[in-house]
Amino acid sequence: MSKKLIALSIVLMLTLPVATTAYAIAETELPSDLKLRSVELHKNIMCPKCSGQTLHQSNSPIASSMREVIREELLKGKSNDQIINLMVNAYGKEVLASPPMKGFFALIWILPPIALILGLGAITFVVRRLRHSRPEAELERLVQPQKMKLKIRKSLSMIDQELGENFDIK
Amino acid sequence: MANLGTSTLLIALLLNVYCISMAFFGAKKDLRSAVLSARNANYLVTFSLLIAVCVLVAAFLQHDFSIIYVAEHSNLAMPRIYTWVAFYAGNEGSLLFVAFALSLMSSISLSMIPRRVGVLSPYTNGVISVIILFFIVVLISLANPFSAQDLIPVDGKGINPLLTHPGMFIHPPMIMTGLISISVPFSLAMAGLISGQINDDWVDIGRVWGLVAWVLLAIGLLLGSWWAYTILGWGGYWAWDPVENAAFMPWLGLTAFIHSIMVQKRRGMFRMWNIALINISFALGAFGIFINRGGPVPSVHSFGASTLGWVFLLFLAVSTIISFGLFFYRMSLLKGSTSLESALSRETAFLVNNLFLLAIAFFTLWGVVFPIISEITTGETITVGEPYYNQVNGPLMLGLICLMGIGPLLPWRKSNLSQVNRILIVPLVSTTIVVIAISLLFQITKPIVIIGIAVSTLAAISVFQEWIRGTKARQSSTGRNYLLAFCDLILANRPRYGGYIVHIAIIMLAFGILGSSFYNSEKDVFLAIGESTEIEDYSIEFTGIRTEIFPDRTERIADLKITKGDNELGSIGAWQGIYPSFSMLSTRAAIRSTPIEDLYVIFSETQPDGKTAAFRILVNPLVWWMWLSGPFVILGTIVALWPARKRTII
Repeated sequence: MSKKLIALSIVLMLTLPVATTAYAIAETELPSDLKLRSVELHKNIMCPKCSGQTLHQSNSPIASSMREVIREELLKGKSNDQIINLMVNAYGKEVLASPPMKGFFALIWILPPIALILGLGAITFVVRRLRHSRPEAELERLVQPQKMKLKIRKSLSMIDQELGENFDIK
Repeated sequence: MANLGTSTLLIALLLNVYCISMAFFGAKKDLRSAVLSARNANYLVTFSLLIAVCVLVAAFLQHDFSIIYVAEHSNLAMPRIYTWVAFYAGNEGSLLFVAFALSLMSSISLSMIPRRVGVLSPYTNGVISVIILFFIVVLISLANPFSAQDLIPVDGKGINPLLTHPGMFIHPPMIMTGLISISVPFSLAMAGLISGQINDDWVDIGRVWGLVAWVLLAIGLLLGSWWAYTILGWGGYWAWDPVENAAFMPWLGLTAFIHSIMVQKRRGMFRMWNIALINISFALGAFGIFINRGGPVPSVHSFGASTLGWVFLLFLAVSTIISFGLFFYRMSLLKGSTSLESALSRETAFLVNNLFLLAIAFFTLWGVVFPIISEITTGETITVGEPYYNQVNGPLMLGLICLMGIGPLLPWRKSNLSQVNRILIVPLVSTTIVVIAISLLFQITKPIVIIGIAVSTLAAISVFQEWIRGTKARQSSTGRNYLLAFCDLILANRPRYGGYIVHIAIIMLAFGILGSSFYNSEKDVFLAIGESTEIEDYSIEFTGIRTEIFPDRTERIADLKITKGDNELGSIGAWQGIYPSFSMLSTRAAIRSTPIEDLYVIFSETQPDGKTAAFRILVNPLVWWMWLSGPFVILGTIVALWPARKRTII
């Protein structure tokens, strides 16, 4: 039981600093245009320690202190790009929710549209080919003796199976 | 207990090996008795795995902490009902569940395969049993849930508090069963490739099992979103997390498959393509299992994580090489038997639908693996998150909804421009009117939202038009009332009208996503007891905190009185629980849900005085519709799956 109490007090201690920072945020609301920009920034910046959550999603202490920094920078009149650069300098590129469209990282953005165009091209090609395969040729292919033989063999084996099954029942 | 469990697994292994050898031997030599024996062996494997499952559940119920898995994932204080969740809360147990689900699905499907497919049946049994074999071997050698320990602890560790949520009873088993059920249509396709008996015989049963896997994944994904919405506390429901993606990609592959298989069913086309699609879906499913079991990407889903990543990577690699190897080997046999007479036809619409769905799947895959590629080539770790997925996949999703409006109206085989104009004129004109009306009424200015509304309206109108036209025709020909005529219509072509019901569900989903992503408002506030705050038209008064102490947790509920305008809307309670043994604070949102909007309140922290608390308050429009889509997805799938009335054969 005492172990649990210790753990409980650790939890409470951990939550205390968060609570005070959050209080500060609540005290001075941002004007609505800055508020919109801050939400946009929160959605584009990751919380470095909370596996896959953005600042907009995370409730962790580090996320709220980063939100606090963003709020202060916005009030100082910094632009979105400046704030993003600040965050990248402090936490590295992985703090961005998606890679920038620069250098090697441009690859991730460029490949999808190219692939889509290639895919549409492939469909045009397939549809053309399907249109040009003439029905007469199809018919010919269907009545090929080879095909007929296969079909007959299949029917025969099915009859055999049915008979075999009947024997089993007896 | 531990010995009993391990020995049932060993028995299952022996039976399974027997089943595989008899199935392939019987198929090769055309020995009916061997084939039947193999099928019975498959049933027995399922039975043995069922016993293993029961043994593990019993061990949890009896708090048998001599079994490591039980000690790691449960404790004495845990409510008994969460035993079922604890069962698959870790790697070993969830693998046992997957093995059992796969085996059960294989037995059901084998008992349903009609005799006329002949040699396909034993080969299917053989292939699916090889997949079962893989899981049983992993269970026995690397992840035995029945491993015992000598030093028996007095109490177990318990279950991750995030998992104690009603959604957790259904979400994980649905996703796991869904992912693994792809094995059934996959094995049918493989059976065709191995035997060389490639025709349209597998289409009906392949479609049925494709749909089963599809609906299980769909419901699993929706429930997962609901869980995230109520418990993770940021008002969102989808984060493009690697593990979410891992379940979403095979679902997309299956969606393409269940559409494209209809073309083969109706027109005998796309034979090659359908087998390729099911191969792709299976590979994506295997990739999903790999990502979930200790893949190389961080995720909030690390519950089932293990060091077994390499085993599943191996499984993915081997199954993909074999399935595509066989595919290319048999390619010459896979030619379709008919041709297309015009580029403007429903067949083409299906092709574009497939392209879009696969594009979303591959762009998502690209987003999941790109950080690894970047790490290897540049040495820099980067994140690929929401902004990427929304920008790349968003337009394609809108495109798909647009196709949902146009595709079903196009005739099979051929049409010409004037015909298409005639078909589309009514839906297009009415869509334009509706969109203008909605935009003016709600003052919508964002172009992306207007496009979203336009495509959704078009898709809805085209379904309603089909329903109304068909009902009228039936009513006038049979003289029955409209309701009966409507039921008649739906029953007459179940795959089609079941599909339309699902389309309506997808439109509801799109509606909810549009509303909640573009029109939500949020607020972080601190309130003392007695204080109130305002958001949109709501006024929220914090009336007090109730505290309850349980053996494993302390629960606190913040009561909030809601008023909108002059109307008192009653109280809602935002919940939080402190779990000392996990040093974790878990929250559950108070949600007041209406078809128009959700008022959503998270109670995150309390000040030391115990009288002031932090809240995050959100107003999320139209989210209600997302959860409503679930029942419609199920209903539509049941209609589509319901077997047709037997025709009398003369």
